Parts: sequence; C-alpha cells; structure tokens
Amino acid sequence: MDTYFDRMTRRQWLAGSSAALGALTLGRAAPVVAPVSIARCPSYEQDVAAILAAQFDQIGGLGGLVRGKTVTIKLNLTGGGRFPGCTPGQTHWVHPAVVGACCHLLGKGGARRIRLVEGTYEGEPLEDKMLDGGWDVQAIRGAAPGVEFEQTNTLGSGKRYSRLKVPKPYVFPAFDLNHSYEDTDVFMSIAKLKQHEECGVTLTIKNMFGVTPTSIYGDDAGRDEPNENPRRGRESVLHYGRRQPPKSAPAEIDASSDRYEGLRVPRICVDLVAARPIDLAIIDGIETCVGGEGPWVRGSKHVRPGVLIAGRNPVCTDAVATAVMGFDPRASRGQGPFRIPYKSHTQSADDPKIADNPMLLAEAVGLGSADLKQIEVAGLSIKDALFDFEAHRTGRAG
Amino acid sequence: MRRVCPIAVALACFPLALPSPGAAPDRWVPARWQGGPLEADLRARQPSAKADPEISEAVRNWYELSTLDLLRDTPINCLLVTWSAAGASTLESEQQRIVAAYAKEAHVRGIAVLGIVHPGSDLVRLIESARAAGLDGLVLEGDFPDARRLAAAAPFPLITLGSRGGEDSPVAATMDGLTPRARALSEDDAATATPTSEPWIDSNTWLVRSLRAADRRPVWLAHTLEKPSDEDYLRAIADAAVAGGRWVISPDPALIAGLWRKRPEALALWRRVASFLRFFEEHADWRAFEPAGPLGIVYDRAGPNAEVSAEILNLVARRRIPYRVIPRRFFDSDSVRNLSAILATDLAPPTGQEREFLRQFAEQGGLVVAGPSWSSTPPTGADHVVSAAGKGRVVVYAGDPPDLEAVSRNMLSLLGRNNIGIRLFNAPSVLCGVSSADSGRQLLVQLTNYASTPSEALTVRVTGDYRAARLFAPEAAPADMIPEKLEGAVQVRIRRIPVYAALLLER
Repeated sequence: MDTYFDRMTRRQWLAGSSAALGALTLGRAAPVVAPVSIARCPSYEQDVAAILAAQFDQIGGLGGLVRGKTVTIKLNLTGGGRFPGCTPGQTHWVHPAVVGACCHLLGKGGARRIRLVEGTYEGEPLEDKMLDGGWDVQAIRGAAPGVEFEQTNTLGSGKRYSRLKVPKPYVFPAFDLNHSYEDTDVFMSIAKLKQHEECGVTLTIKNMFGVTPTSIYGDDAGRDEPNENPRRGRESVLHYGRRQPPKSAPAEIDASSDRYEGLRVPRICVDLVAARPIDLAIIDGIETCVGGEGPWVRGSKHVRPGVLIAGRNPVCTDAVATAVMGFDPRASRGQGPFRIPYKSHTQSADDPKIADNPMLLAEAVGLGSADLKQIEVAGLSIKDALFDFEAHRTGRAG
Repeated sequence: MRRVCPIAVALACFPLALPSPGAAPDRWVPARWQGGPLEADLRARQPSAKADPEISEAVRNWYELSTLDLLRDTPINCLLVTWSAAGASTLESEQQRIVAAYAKEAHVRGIAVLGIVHPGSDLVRLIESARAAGLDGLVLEGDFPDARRLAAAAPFPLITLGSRGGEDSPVAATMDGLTPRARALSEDDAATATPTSEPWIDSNTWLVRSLRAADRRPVWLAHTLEKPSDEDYLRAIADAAVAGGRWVISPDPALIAGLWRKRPEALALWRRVASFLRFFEEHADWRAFEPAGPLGIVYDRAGPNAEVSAEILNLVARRRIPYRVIPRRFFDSDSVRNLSAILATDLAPPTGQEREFLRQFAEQGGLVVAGPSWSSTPPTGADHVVSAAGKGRVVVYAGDPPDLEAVSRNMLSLLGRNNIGIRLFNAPSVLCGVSSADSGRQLLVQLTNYASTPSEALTVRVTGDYRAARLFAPEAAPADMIPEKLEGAVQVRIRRIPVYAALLLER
C-alpha cells in the first residue's frame, strides 16, 4: 500500500516541511507525524531481512517509495577502536547484517541503484573501512543489484559539491555536500541505538553529522577552498565553531552565537536533516553500547537490547528509540540523556556536559513530532521493548 | 715473548668432547627443562617464592627419567637443565650427579643437554664438570666476563643469554623478550583509548629480526612468560618463528607440576605446544625466505642510541609496515636494492660514503628519513622537514634521537598506506611478517594474533598479481584460498585466526 510518504519527493518533502514550519510559526498546524515500528531481534544470527520486511510493511511498505529509484543510505560507521571481543558492528557501528538485509529488501522492492555512503578518516574507499570492520563487502555488494559505495568526506566520484539549503536554519543556511546526497530519489539514515557524549543520543538525526565532508568542515579544510586530502575531524568548524568553513562554502548565519558544542552539534544535525530530509530511518539496537558512542568513551560497554526500530520520519523514529532507551524524548536541555554525567576523556566527573534535545529542535522547525502521544507505534510496544540504558550503564540492571 | 693465557692452558687440557647426539646448534629446538634439588632450592630462596608443595615436589623430582617421555613426538631436541648456582656446593654436586644420569638417557634418545649456569662460579671449573658429565654445552645466564675468551677453546658451545645475543655463541640467544600479547590500555578494560587507536601489542618478532640480520646465527628467545595462558605459549612460539627464531619453551611452575602429575589439561597443552613446534619445523624452509617490503631500516647496534634505535624496529612493525633490517656494517647500494624508503636515523652522523648512498637513493626517487646530523642546519620549529632531492625526498628529524613514535607514525603517511605492499583489514590485534622467495614469485604473509580471542573475518590485501594462495596453520589442514583480484593487488579473506596462520601466495 502506498502512503502519502511513498509518493513524496525531496522537493515535496522540503515544501511540506516548510509548510509545517510556517504553520508552526503561525501556531496553526501540528508537526509531521509518521508511524514507527519496533521489532524484537535478539541477535544478528536471526533472519534480519524477514524482521525488517515486516517492519517496512507496518510503516507503509517499501515498493512505492523505492521502485525504479536511486536510494542512498547514510551508514553510521563512526571511529575505530573496539570493545574487547566485539566487532565494531556489535557495538558502535551499524551491523553489516542490518545493512545487507536493507539492501536485499530495497533490491526486492525494485530499487534501481542503492548507494551506501559514509565518510572515512583517511579518505580510503568506503569498502576498505567496511573490511576493517570485518564486513563481507562482496556479500553486501551481492545483496541486491546496483549496490554502490561512496566515501563522502570528499568530492568522491562527483565533479562538484552539491549545495543543499536549510529552510529554517539554526547554524548554517546551507551545506556543501558530496553529490550523493543530492543525486538520489530516496534517502535513508541507518543508525545505531546508542548514547552520545556531546549530543545525548546517537540516532538517525545525529547520524547526519557525518554527511558533512571533512574537506570542507574538517579541521584541516582550506581557508578558501576544500582540501581534497583531509586527515582531521570536525572539531574546529562544527563542534566548537572556532573557524568557518572555506570561503567557497556557506558560513554560519551568526558566528557570534554560543560556541558550546552541546548546543551546536544538535542544531547542526537538525540543519542537516532539514537540508537533506530523511525518507526512511532505521535504528539498529540488536547489539550496541551504553555510556557513549564508542569504546573511546570511558565507562561505555557492550549490551544487547535486541530491538530494531524503523520509521518514515526521523524525528518520530528517534523519539520512539529514545523512549526505548528509557529516556524521555521530550527532555529539555540538560535533562535526561541530555545531561551527561559520566566521565569521558574530555570531561571531569564533577562537570557534567549538557546538550540540547535534537528532536525538540527538529520538531520546532517542523521536521517531525517528538510527542509519543502523537506517534503510532507498530509491532512491539515501547514498554515491551524497553532497555534501560542508564540502568545498564550504572550496573543497576544486573 | 708472548704470554700464555692460563685459562687457555686449562682448557687445552680438556679431552675432546664426547660426540654430541642429534642435531647441530642450528637445528636445536630448545626447551628450558629446569629442575632437580638445586633448582627447587633456588626457587625456594627467591623473595617472591610462594610455598606450593606440589610445584616443589615436581621441580625437585623433574629429572626422573620418565619426564623424558614428555619429549616423545615433539621436535624438542635440546634441553636447558639446571647445572650450577654459585655457592651451594653440596647440593650442586648432588644436582650434577642427577643431571649426568639424565643427560646420558637423553643422549640415547638423541636429545642434547645444555647446563644453565649463573655468575659467581669459576667458569673453567663449570666447563670441566659439564664436559665430564657429558653435557653438550653451557648456557650462561648472566654476566661472565671470561666467556668470550673461553668460548673459542671450550670443548662445546657456550651460549650467552645477553641482550646482544652473545656474539661468540653458535646461537644468538637473549632473555630480552616480553610475553607476546595485546594489552588493554584502560582501567575498565576498554581495548582502546581514542577513536582511532589500536590495542598495544607486545611482540618480539622485531627483536628476532634484528638479531637475524646481524648474522645468520640461529636466534633463541629465552625469556619466561608472565602468567601464561595456553595461547600465550603458542603465541610465543609463533611470534619468534615468524622472523625465523625460536622461543625456548619455558614451562611455568604450574605447567611443570601438571606435567609431572600427568594432569590431562597439562598434557593437552603440551600436545598443542608440540604441534606448534612441529608446524614450524615442517616449514623450516620459510626461514630462508627474505624479508620483503618497501622499507629498509639501517640499524647500528654499536651506535650511541642503540637501545633507542632498537625500539624503532618495534614501532614500525606495530604499524604493519614490512621492512628489512640493514645492519650498518652491511649498508651499501646493494643492500637497498628494491626498496622505496630508507630509515637512517641511526646513522648519527652518516659517514661520507653512507651519505653518498643515501643521496643517490633519494635522487633516484627514493625516500630517505634521517636524523639532524644529515643537515648542517637541522630543522627548528617543527619535529621534521621534508625536502625534495632529485626524483625523491629527504625527511630530516630535529630530535637526536628523534621521537620514535612520531617517526613510525609519519612513516606510514610518507610511504602511503597503499604503497607498503600489504594491508590487513579488521585485524587490530594481528601483526604480520612478510617475506618472499623465488625472486618474488612466492610471498609468505605470516599472521600472529596477539589477542586472547580469535581474530575473525580479516582480509589480507597484497600488491601484485598472485594467482594462487594457500593458508597454513598449526592444528589445521592447509586450505586453498581464492584470491580476489583488484587493480594491482589481490585480497584474501580469512575466516578465523586463533593464534597464527600463514598465507603463501604464488604468482
């Protein structure tokens, strides 16, 4: 069954978002709401494709959305390092079984091309990064016809950067991104169900942070032009705003605004979702880590929530996922997951970090609803799927 | 008139040594086999000794002839036994009487026996007593000032366990080894400290490589293991064998006790140890393969920074950059053939001839990495500077010695990750040894996993057009692999490496 979302293009989506935003500004219409599916999936040995297929049916089906289309999937393959005895896919990257299953289902749904995208630290091909995580790249490539890979920290196979505008910006009025984020009919964000040291939670909205090319938004970006051989992260330009991107790219709308990363990073992520709307949001919570976004966050550890979450709207999907993690998705700045008391390599125990809630920021600009009362949850209920991250982080969960 | 050395006179009086059993020193597969009353007494007197009656009993009675049965079906053919400890004469006589009988039976079984001695005793007397007892040599554990002079005249090998591998021994042996394993870096057992770091790996392969490069003597690593797991034993064997050396099998006290009492778990571990040893003896031809890789590291064991210089061999190996050690005395234009980079920070300063070799190498397109003495105006304000030299580059570091961690890290970016001939994927706990034979038609990639858990789903990518690949591992049958062809390279996916595997590729 095709739904309203099945038939939306990016342009329509943007128009819709803008309309919703306008309506919100005028105090008339409610933000966009879309159903979210939760499914039990105890391990990656399960038939992940069958479970996801059922979830896609619950949120309106894939066929109308992807048939004959180019689908781009932003993966969540963050930094390196490992928890002892675990692959990155078990803890802080999305797992190849989930990605392979998605590709298979998209192929089955008639997608013409499936492009997997993510940045890599040293500019190596994305396939190499996957190999480094133990992925069977051949198997992913063979999961559906037309599977491609693109490393998006640079121009990649594009000839120029695509400028995507932010309808109602918090920090940046537009972004210069790898062409893959524009040259697509359908855009998916597949994220891991996990916390984040600066952003509170890492879900499909936070996953968008990595779409920014480090050639432009990295610490070693050029002053005037992109640096096509970047080797650094996004601290100076994005996290702390100590400098602006190269002159070739749009600068911040207000370079004198608060530079605190707990406020900036969620806003930038929301700007990115507005610039590059997400048509399908999937969250891998089969296995993950609690206490931070990766093994470099002190005190973080491997856990097995055993859930998959999927939805058409990233704000609704992230809100449900946040609730599954045992947090209030409407918690405000410095509350719930957005007060980060755990000790990390960048903070002292007495100085908790605070972050803004990206779901509320997104809701305020009409990108979707973070109100659980408005969101239809299919499959497993939030209560039955609940996996209390804080209890597992502190050991109270036993 | 020339003075006659009294020690030489004493040694000249030794009758000819009895014919040694079994193999020559280069074929010895050694094991520490320390026991007897003297060893039990030595251990009891150690400040950290814990009284464990089971272990004491096993050590005291270790030279009952039945323990030789443990060597059946193993390649071990050389035992290092307790022979002397200074200042315990009555016990020492009893010990030597027991060992003599044990050695006699060992010889019948084709096993050589070397006596371990410690400083404090007269070495001439020890040599004489060992010869009389029919031992095949002595292992000098500690500093014996006379050893070098006595070695030439001794009736059997004197093997010195020193950091330089005892230059007059038939074997380059050293105690300078670590328990090879990956170490967690943080208190909460997280394996990494930053988003991009990898676990710290203690390995001795670089040490074997440096000793083997100095001359072609067999290399023994004679260190004991710290609280060893079963896999630690196997890894210690592999870690040394990758560079053509041998770890001297050293059962820890708990294993000694288990073997003595014939406990099934101890015997099972012993069978695995034997299986690993057998594997490397069956592939002894691999020791003749030449180290392959783009980088040559000039190593000056006699230089002012010898200890520091050795560390660069360790750090570069941890970056998985295959290299060839070039002892300074062998450094010439022939020694750098087929290399694309030379790390020459050990030439401090380079001689005129060395400087000329390096200059020519860079001008022909090579990369030279040198210390501050390379230039009359060493870099200031930066830890290194890169300058063009003909078709190549010269990198000069400011520090003397330079920051070795920075040198090894930068070496990877200077060479380029894709230009080092090999890349491992999904293998943070694996180090590799790369060597070749038959003019490069055969490439051997030896992979040692230093983690306590198996390395799984790793990929090995090598530059070149290899058509066939075969995977070898102890305790497993060889398996043919199908190399996946890439542009200018091939890659092979390996399902699982518990401790060690070797990939032999053929063009």
